[in-house]
Amino acid sequence: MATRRLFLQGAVGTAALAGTPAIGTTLPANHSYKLLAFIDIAHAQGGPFAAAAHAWGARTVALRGDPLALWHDAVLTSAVQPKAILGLTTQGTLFCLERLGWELGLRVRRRIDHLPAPDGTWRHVAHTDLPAWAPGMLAGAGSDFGLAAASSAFNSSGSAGDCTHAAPPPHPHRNSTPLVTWLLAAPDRA
Amino acid sequence: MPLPPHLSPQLWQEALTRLRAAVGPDALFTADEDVTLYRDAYSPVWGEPEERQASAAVAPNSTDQVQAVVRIAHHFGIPLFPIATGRNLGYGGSAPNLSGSVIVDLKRMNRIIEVDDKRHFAIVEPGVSYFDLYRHIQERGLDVWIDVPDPGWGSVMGNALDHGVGHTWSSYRDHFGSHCGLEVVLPNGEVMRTGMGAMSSAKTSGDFRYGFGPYVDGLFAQAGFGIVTRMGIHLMPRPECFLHRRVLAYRRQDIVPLVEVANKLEDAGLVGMPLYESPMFGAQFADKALRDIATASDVWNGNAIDRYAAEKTMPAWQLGLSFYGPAEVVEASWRHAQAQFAKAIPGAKFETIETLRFPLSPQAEEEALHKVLIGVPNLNIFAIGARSATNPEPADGHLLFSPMVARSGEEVMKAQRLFTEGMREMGTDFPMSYGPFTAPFTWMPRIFALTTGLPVSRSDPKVNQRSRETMRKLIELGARHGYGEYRTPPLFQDQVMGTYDFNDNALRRFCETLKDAVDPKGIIAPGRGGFWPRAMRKEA
Ligand SMILES: Cc1cc2nc3c(=O)[nH]c(=O)nc-3n(C[C@H](O)[C@H](O)[C@H](O)COP(=O)(O)OP(=O)(O)OC[C@H]3O[C@@H](n4cnc5c(N)ncnc54)[C@H](O)[C@@H]3O)c2cc1C
Repeated sequence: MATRRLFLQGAVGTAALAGTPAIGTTLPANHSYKLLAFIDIAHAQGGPFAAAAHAWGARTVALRGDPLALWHDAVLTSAVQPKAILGLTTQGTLFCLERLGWELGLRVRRRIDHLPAPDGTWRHVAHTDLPAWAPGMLAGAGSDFGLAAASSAFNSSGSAGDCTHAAPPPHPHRNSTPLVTWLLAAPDRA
Repeated sequence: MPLPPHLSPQLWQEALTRLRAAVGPDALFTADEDVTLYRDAYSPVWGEPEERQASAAVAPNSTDQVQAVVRIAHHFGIPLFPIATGRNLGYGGSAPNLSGSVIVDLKRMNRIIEVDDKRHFAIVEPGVSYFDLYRHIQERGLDVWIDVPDPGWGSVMGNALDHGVGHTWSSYRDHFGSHCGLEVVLPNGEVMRTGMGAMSSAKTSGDFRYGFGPYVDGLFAQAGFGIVTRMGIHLMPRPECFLHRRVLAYRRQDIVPLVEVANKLEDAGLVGMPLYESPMFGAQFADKALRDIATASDVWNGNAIDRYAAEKTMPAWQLGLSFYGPAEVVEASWRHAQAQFAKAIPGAKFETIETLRFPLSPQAEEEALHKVLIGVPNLNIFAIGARSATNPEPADGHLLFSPMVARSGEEVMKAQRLFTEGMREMGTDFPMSYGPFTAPFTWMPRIFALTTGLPVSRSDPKVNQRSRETMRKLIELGARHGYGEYRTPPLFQDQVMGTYDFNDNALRRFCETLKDAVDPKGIIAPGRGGFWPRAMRKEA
């Protein structure tokens, strides 16, 4: 576990943020909430995502597929309960984190699936509205979409919805691994 | 969300008021956005009228509160459905057998009452997960191991009560088999303890499971005779060493001696869970020539497979063997095993996969190849590892068809052919399901599960319809040939129970008689296990 965290310390840096559109204005209005980011570092997009999340004040937690022990250490036994958690992981990891999040009253409020094609291109499928600039930014980033994904998930101008139980979009290419960017936060209660 | 059957909205509100008073306002969930979390994410009837959905959920935090909940439900005639951590994915998730049931979510009852590392047992409440128990043991440096299923977030108790399974030694990986003593709230609200727990002065409820008189514990697994609030479980002493070794066999028929030798080693207590695989299973999707062999009608005579194996030096079968114990003992056991396999299987080869000495450093534990073989709970199965040829959409889920097949190579080959040709006749094209390279799972001691997964979808009802139909036909086909299911989601429990048909379904009729006597109103999980109280039976 220590080794995974060390990786992230190395990954954190504002240099990676160069070229991000108006990051300052993308901070959620309610920035006092405590943020955590779970990032699967087995995927190249993880580093830039982590750097962005860290720059926004999130505590970053690196994983390789399995989130169970990290959830326990970073969330359940942590002195500060996070108000929101964002991440870039595989869909299977999100499936687990979504359910673990329910125990703390959190729901998946944003979800963007990233689907790789055999020719190296990626398709991005959002389950809630994204900021107007996000689809173009994601599409333009090619396979290097970590930063664009973090910006899209984090941005407060796109509405957060309820993606509870959302089905992953169909993905015909069985030998490739889709990724997903997500935000877990408390639901809006009537 | 649906209301409990036959209950007026006024009485429902009255019942909710009483439940709220019993458990506190924060432990009763009635809003749709909360109750929806108890839907079965792997439901093969997702979003269809047949989907089983709860009316509400209640989360007691003590046996007293469970008793209060059961008494209220009994008064109003409300069916309850108990879950421990409710992660029974593939077998029903946290959804009930009967729509309108109130889920009794026992996650808040998560006390580890005792772990004894001299007598090797633990006593736990329902909400204790494998991970919780593992951490408890690690943090205290206790000298015991747990046996874990693939998903490490499940409940030690919930898994055992659905006859769940793990991956180590035969006496530990049958989780219900290794439980020892229950505390149960009965349908009338009374508390009972079984085994030595039935004697108030005894201190041996975690040691000796029978006590005196009939052994009734089995009635509380895969059934609705009570809500279990405490359970003992036998644990394995922490071994000094773990060896994982592999036997490679190059002819299709080699499965016969491979199984015979492995059975002997396992039943003599020399090895843990045998791990059968065929490297040709994955290879067939990379090499069309092998796929053609696999799908040819004469593949069953094995000739083409043997030729391919010889040409490519690719084993038709491989068997992983786990050894646990003192270094000199496990090394000697492995030498003995090699001699046995070499004698029985000409040309067999042997491989070293992993050698570990305990305790492991955190880094070594993280790097361990197959964590469940050494009792380390994790969720890797849901991550990238679950996305495979057999499970193309892991995040959407699967139904598991798990027929029990006798532990012999001949039976494996017979069942492979039956299910492969059967699915072909059904016109179901799941290329990843069955074929000549399907290997048996050995989770359950002394029996094979020739398991396959059928896809389910939360977005495409057609996928679900096809899988449901296939599942029903597979259950029927298997039963005709004596291959029964050991576990299944609620949707198929009536059918599976019906296949246990000896003497005009005497087993089901006996369970119904008991249910009528103990729980005539169907308060606890009616329909669980494929039998119902008289008032809810179809013919009633
Ligand atoms: C990818 C994948 C891999 C899996 N691998 C395995 C595996 O290796 N081994 C295995 O066994 N399973 C496996 N499963 C199935 C399942 O996820 C596990 O068995 C899981 O542990 C069951 O969920 P749970 O522990 O939360 O039990 P729960 O869902 O809480 O309980 C299971 C059932 O037991 C009954 N029950 C629970 N608590 C009580 C109680 N207190 N009183 C009375 N009845 C009760 C209920 O009927 C309930 O539905 C797998 C599933 C998936 C999706």
